Amino acid sequence: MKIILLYIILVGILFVSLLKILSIGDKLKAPLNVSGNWIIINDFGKEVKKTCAQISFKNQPPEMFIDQSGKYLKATINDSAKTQLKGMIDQDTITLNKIFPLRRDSCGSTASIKLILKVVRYEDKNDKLLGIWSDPQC
Amino acid sequence: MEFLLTLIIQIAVIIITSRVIGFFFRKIHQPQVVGEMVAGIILGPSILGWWAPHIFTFIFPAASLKFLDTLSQIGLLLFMFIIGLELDPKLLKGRGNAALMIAMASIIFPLILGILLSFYLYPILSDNSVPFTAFALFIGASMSITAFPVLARILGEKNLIKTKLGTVTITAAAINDVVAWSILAVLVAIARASMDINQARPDRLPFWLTILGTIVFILIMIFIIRPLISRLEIYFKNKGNNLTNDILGAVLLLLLASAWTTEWLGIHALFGAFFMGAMMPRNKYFLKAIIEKLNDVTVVLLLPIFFTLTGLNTTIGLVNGTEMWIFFGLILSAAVIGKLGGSAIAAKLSSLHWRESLGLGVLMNTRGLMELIILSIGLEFGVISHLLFTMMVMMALVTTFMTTPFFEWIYPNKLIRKELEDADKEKQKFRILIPVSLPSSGPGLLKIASAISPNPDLKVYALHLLRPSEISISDLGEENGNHKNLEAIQPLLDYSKENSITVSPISFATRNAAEDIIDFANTKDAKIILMGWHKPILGESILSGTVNEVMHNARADVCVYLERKFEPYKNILVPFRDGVHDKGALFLARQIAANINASLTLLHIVKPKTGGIKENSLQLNPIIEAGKKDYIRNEIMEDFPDENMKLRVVESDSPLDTAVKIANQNYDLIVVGLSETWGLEPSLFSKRHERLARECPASLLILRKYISSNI
Repeated sequence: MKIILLYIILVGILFVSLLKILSIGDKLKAPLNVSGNWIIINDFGKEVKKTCAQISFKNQPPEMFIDQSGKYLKATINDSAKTQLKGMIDQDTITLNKIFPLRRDSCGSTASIKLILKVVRYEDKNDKLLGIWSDPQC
Repeated sequence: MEFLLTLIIQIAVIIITSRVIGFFFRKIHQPQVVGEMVAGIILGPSILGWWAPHIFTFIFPAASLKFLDTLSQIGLLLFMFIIGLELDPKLLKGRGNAALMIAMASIIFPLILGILLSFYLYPILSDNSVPFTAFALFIGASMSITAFPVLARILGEKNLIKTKLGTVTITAAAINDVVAWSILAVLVAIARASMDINQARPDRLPFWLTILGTIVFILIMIFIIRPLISRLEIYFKNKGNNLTNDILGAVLLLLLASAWTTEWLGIHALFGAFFMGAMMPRNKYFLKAIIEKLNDVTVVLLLPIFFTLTGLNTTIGLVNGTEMWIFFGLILSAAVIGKLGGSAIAAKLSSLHWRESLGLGVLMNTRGLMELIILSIGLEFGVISHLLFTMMVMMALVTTFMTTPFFEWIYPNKLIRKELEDADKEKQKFRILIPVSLPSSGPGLLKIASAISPNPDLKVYALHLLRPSEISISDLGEENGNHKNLEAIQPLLDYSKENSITVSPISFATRNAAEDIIDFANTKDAKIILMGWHKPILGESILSGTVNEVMHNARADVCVYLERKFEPYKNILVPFRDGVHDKGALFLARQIAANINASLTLLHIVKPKTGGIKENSLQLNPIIEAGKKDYIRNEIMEDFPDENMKLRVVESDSPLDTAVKIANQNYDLIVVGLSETWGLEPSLFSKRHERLARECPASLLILRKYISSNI
């Protein structure tokens, strides 16, 4: 009986400790989930024309797909060149700034584009990412 | 079929790549599976997609991957079913506490390390759609898994299966397999439930229903499906051990039904496939026939597709920069320290040497395909991200790849050869198990044990079992018991020292003495279980209770010894009628007579033709009536052509009375087979008196010969 009791106590301690550890971990905050397809609206085309990078959607729907691994993000814009941006999410701010393979017209070989977005959550509507494009090289 | 041409090209490319890369890996003494895992990564975006993106897009267009995925899922179902079929229930029981302790340690250590590591990884590599509990448990569980097939193959190749290291490792890995898959089933249910809450998916069963349904499913499988499947086995036997297409079709249907049920319940189809495999009847011909039919197509065609899909989800380019490599280093360290370290420490605590313990740890650390299966489940549910998936795949590759060279470094071939030679020597030893209850009976039992042994290389296990109530908390943790527990064996140990007999004393607590004696004898491969004569608590028969249970169930010869005098024996009598136990007793007596230089008399009692008692004695060339002479010559003397054996042939209507009467004549040891003839059939609560024991002044040795059902 003593052995069975000891066994139950040991397993119980292990189980309770595990639950305790997990409950402590539940208080940890992970980055917001922003993965998936985002429809691009607003005056996107007008803004980009001001940069040296050319983004042309032609017949494709203006969308952006975000592949998320924790705080690390990879965004693929559904333009004709399948432009890819890499970045991070910090609380509710997304910063994407690496470009591939944008065509460059008037700028040098180090041309790049930067996208800073703010995550806006709605209780009754779909979430939105609000932000601006910028081109630090131009 | 829009993608049929693409699918054919894909499969051809996958088979060629996996066979070629697998061949090269075999050449460098790596398991084929490592080569196939690497082949998958080569075909993915990490190598082919980066080096030749157009070819990659041509061979693996995104829209076609769903067909490959379906094929790979079927491959995994078949593979898990085969794993279940190959699960040997004998490995899971009766192998002592060492393997169980190692198996548990090899799960708990990496599980805890994985959970602790999750505190660091979760805020960086996960997102708020994944609850911490699901994430941490998944990371922990994926670090706990051992690739049983890879491990078994390495042990087989190294010829280590029969060694102590091999036996303990394979048992621990089998237990690990069952426990880890069970834990993972629960985790999948938890993950699904918690993720579904977040994603508001009403199509899933609630968690409590998943758990309840799983319990009902297991009960139905054990108590309804299993007996039904045994009819398939009978049908298989009736067909001359031929696995017809009808039987195979029925087996596949059962597999699919089981997989469908567990998927519907929310614990993944793979568990149903594994469970159905484990439920199949353990007829080795039946299992072998099924495995032969399914294995080739699964291993050569379907699993490489799974590896390729894993490779397609693995983008090693994602792991760039110092920070990423630090994450990977942490994951790899936690996996290796938890699994290798945990198993090795547990093995060391289980009295294995450091080298054996480390070898075992390295073997348990191999993850292989099993890890990829868990990871793909995690990725499918969105518990782990692509980046984490890539890092974990790399960890699985490294831990599987390092197994063979590390094992060869820790356990060089010359050491394995020596161990095999030692194992052969150990195997040649004649092993006797003596359960000692009364301290005073120890020396007598050891004396008769040394006389029984057919060769001088005798190994005796002296086992003293304690009731749980006899154990104090301070006794726990000492595997062989402490000095107090060994006190009962001390007189036997003293005698062994005086006579240079090798004895291993063991003492542990038991709740079922007979069961533990039988298990221990099986584990140590004891040829004989030699038990003392004990006064029964219930009933009047001495051959009852524990003795009766051991006699009925042990897979070794069982001797019961009643000692009347300790001095060396001079005259041994063997009452002989017929049957396997009597022949065994005669063989045993002849061995004792030869070892202690005593004279041996065979008392053969036959039915009289005319009634009354008549006796003929002979000294090898008997002058008795022709029929009996032939019988004795053909049936007895031919097996035992012993010049020192005297033969007394007695005609009697009452063999027991005659045996008792003759046993009273100047014999000091009676060796007799277990049979009703001698009033020695063991039965529980019998009121019969063992007359030979009670009415003869000589010592008595009763033998129950083990008859294998395989003969």
